Parts: sequence; structure tokens; C-alpha cells
Amino acid sequence: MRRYEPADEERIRSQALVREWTRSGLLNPVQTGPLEEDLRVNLRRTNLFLRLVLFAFTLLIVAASLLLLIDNIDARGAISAIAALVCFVLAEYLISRFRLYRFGVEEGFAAAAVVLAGIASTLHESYSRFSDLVALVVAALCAFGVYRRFGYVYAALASFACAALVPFQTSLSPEMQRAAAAGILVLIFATARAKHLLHGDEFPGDEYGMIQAAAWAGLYFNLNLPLSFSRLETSWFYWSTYVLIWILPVIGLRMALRDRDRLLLDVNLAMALATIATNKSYLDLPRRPWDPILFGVFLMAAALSLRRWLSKGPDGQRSGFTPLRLVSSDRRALALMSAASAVVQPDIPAAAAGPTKPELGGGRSGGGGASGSF
Amino acid sequence: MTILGRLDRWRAAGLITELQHNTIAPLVRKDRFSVFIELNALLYLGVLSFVAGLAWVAQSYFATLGDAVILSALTLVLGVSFYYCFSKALPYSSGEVESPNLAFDYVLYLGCLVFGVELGYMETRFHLLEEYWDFYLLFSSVLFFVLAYRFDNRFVLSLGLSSLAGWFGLRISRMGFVYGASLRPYAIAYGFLVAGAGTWFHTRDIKRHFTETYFHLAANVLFIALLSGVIGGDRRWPYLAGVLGLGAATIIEGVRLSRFAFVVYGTIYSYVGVSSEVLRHVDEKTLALGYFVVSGSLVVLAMVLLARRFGREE
Repeated sequence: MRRYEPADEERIRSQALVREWTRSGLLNPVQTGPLEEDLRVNLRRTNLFLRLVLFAFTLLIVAASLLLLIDNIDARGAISAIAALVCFVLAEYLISRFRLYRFGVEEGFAAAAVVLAGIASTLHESYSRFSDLVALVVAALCAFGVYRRFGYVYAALASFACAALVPFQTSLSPEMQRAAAAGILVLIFATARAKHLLHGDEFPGDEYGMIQAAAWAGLYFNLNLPLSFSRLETSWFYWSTYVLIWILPVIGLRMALRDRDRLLLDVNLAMALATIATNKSYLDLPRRPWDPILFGVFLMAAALSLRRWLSKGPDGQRSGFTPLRLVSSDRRALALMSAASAVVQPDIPAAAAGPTKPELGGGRSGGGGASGSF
Repeated sequence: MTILGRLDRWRAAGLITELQHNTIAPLVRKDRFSVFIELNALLYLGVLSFVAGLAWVAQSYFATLGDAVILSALTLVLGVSFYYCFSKALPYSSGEVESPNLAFDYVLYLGCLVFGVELGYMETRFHLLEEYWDFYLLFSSVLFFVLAYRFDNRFVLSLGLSSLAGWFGLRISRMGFVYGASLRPYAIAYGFLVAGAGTWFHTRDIKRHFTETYFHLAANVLFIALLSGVIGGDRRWPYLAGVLGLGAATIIEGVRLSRFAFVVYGTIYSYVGVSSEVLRHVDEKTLALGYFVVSGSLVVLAMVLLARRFGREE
């Protein structure tokens, strides 16, 4: 079923690890030559940036070509369906002819095939009453097919997102819609988790790990009503979800710490923070100006206490958990976070004093609020 | 074969040493598991939330608490933060300096943010500089740059860059393609200033790990400023020439230095500029769609050739 050999997938992941260890100083750059030779694969790849550009422009070409055809021919549903098939065949052809692997172009065609199949299903007259529902089902099936064939995890995530949205297109009550979506996501999580535990972190276990974490995050988002913009009135369901948004991060953190699963750990930390941040909305309590101060102090105290506790363990660690940086990817992540901090700064109110340069459009920023007013 | 199996094989073949095997294998088995990033993320979010709360409290309760209480509280936090940083800091070096501890960078960042809040509060309440209030931003940015270089702190560097942008009238967090005509020269001047400063520090071997931050910001600000001239300006051709010239420069330098994010900037922004100008003269939908098919195919072809020749694998 898979387009790529499992051995190639394993080698590609091992290559990434060897490069990471070299960047982290655990391997000498001179040593990487023979190791990379041992891991060589007969596939054509490129870096993330060029891959993204190729992906985006392939989608642009497909979209423009389809609109060009639809503009001149009436049978839009049939054209979309044929275009979906053509895109899928093109993805297959590019991989078999040029041995492309995560190159962007073949991914663009595969992704376009899924979208076009979904669009084609909405344009079929027989399903017009249930067009959204049919489109989601078709897109979910096609995206899952693309994942199974090419291994694109984002296709799997899109498939499961479409599947979870299906109940919202039915005539079920809002509570039942959310309950059904939660059921679907729990099923996906349980399946992915079982497979992840079976295979571990190595291929294909890494893919199942991502799917598991995404399903868990989706389940939480679906159940956290203020976070998912729900307007449900207080009822047994409302309070059940309130209890669940406290329980889920606890269960998830326990699983993540036991398995030392970084992705699941980060997802559950984010969920725990979201639970605290949305607590007052759930309880319909007024927000106070000092709430962010308490929240900030809590986060800083938690981080520093945890670091101190871990550092005081034997060899500066406890049960293998250490607050120290072990590989260079941590340094890169931190650099990215600090660069992004130029964009994400506390939203401090704008100045009461009028701007001195008129028509400046963008307004004032930065200064950590030096432009703020009170 | 699993990665642990490979490690064993490489050790047996003499490709890696016993010591390297014994260091790497525990990482693969997750016998050692770092929570470094998670702790940093919690501290960063904590500082942001804390400062936002301080500003909100000052805004909501200045009448009740009084200026003296608010300013004293802000000054106390500021003083403690800066005292901690100056007393714990390692000596200055023009190279990269590791923080003495996990909290250090965030204490400095907290101090800088509180400094901004305090300046804003003082100006709003006492109107010290009145219509020249934006010089607070210039003053803040100078201070933040000095602190960023002294303590090797990228968060404070980003704060300095965004404060300087504020003094130029730009808002880094909400850049759009439509700037008023009067803003464009400021944005272009800011972009060149940031790129020039980044180059100057780089050539003098001062904190070279900061250089990319300068160039990423400068490239985006310059491209957006020039594109706003192409899309919304009266004299479009000089701006289009500027976008294409800058696009060529970023693509060439991005390829030369293997910094492919700049290749993306050059490609996307140039394509938007050219497409905006071409489509301005195209009324027919079919022609416009045909343009996207042809131009998109050319970009894909060029990128494929570039990827095959220079785009290293990841």
C-alpha cells in the first residue's frame, strides 16, 4: 500500500538524527560522511523552505487550471472528479518517475486530489441536501487514502478533522454532535495510541505518535466549550465538559511522562494552560485585572520549582528527566521563540497622546508598552 | 533496522566510538529526557502574562491606588530585575554567552517590559514629553539594544527592534500590505537601518548569532513597504523595481549562504509584486487564470532546478 519502502523511511529518519547529533556536538562532522553513506536512499528530497514554496505554487497551478476549465465547461462536478483523479495520478507519476520524497510538488498534487474530490462530491445533484456531510466524508476517506499511500501525516490529520466534523452536519442536538465528535476522536486516539505503543518512536510509530497527540488535542478542543466558541447553555453536558477539561490534561500528562512522549507532553501542557485560562469563562465569573498577574506568577513559579527540583536530583536529573539542554534542536527552538517574541508582546492599551506622525497606518508598537496609555 | 541497532553496528564497525555510543544510546532510549524547552516556554508565557496583568492593574486602578503606589510597585519590579541581572551576569563577550541560569533571560525580559509599562504610565499621567512622547520609544530601543548585547538576550533584542519600529511609526505585530503613503519611506528607512546594523555588527564579529534576526525582520519590512507601493502607490514602477531587485538579492544570498527562508521571501514577494502589476492590466478572467497557470509553472520549474542544484536535503 505504501508508496515508499519502510527501509527508506527508517533511513531518512536516522539521517535526521545523525545530523541532529552532529549539530549537537555528539558526533564529529568527519564521522558523518560514512554514516550518511550507510543511510543513503535513492530518493530526491529538498529542504523545508523550497518544499513549502513548491507545495504552494503547485496548489496555485491546480486551482487556476481547474477554474479555467470550469469557466468554460458546465459539468463542474465531473470536471472536479476527473481533476482529482488526474492530480492523484500525477503525484504517483512524479514519485515513480523522479523518485520525489517530500519535495512539495507531488504533495501539492496529492493534497489537491483530496480537496477536488471533496468539491466534486458537493456538486453532485443527488446529494445536494447533504452536500457538506458528503463532502466531509469523501474528503476524510480520500485524505486517509493519501496518508496510507504517501505517508503524509498532515493528510491523516486532515482526514480525522473532517471525520470529527461530520456529526456537526447532522440533525443531532448540539450536545450529541459534540459527544459524537468526541467519540470519533477517542476512537482515533485509542487506535493511534495502540499502534504507537506497538512500534515505539521509530517509523511508523512516530507517525502514530503525531496522530495520537493531534486526536487528543482535538478531543480537548471539542470539549472545551468556551475555547471552541460554543454557545451551549448550562446543562449536565456543559458541566460534564467542565469536569473533562480538567481531567484530560491530567490523564494526558501522566501518559506523556510515563512514555516520555514530548509531543503528547507539550499538547497536554498547552491543554492545562487553556483549562486555567478558560476556567472563569466556564464559571461565568468576571475577569479581574490581577488574573494575568496570578497566572504569570503561577507559570513562573511552576517552571522554576520544577527546574530546581529536577536539578537537585542525583546527576541533576530525576527518573531521567533533566532541565538541561541535551541537543541543539532545543537551542534552535528557543531562538525561534525569541524571534517570534517581536510579534507576540503583551497587548498594552494604545497611547492617549495622539501620534506625532499622521497617516502612519501601522500605529505604535514595541517598547514593551512604552506607547501605552492608562 | 532500529536506530539502536544501527548504533550498535556503527560502533562494531568503528564508525563511532564507545563513548559516543554510550552518550547517544541513552538519548535514543529516552533514559535522559530534557524538559528544557517546556520550562523556557512556561517562563516566557509567565512573563508575558505577568506584565500584561501589571499594565491592566495600573490602567484600572490608578485612581484608587494612586500614582505613587503604582510607580513604586513598577520601579520595585524593575529595580529587582535589573539588580539581579547585573549581579548574576557573566562577563561580556562578543561571542555567544550562555545564560548563568534558566531564569536569567526572562528576568531581564521582565525588567525591560516593566520599564516600557512604567514609561507609558508616566507619560500618560504626567505628559512629560507631550507631543514628543514617541521619543520614549527611541530611548527604550537604545536601552534594549544595549541590554540585549550586554546580556546576550534575543528576547530583548526583538523588543529593541520592535520599539525602534514603533519610533518609525511601524507596528511589527500587525504588518499589512496597505501602508499610507507617508509611512512607506519610514518603513523603507527602518528596513535599511536594521539590515545595515545587522551587517555592521556581523562584519565586526559582534554577536553574530543575532544577525539572522536583523535580516529576517529587515527583509520582511522592506518587502512589505515596497509591495505596498506596488499595490497601492501612485508611482508603482520604482517600487516594483525595488521589489524585484531586493528579491534577486535575497534569493542569491539565500542560496549562497544556504539560508533558504530568504529564497522563500524573495520568491513569494517578487511573485506578488509582478502579479499585482500584470493583473492590473488584465480584465478578462480567463487571461488572469491563464497567467497564474503559466507563471506558477515557471516558478515551480525554477524552484525545482534550484532545489536540485542547491536545496540540500533535510
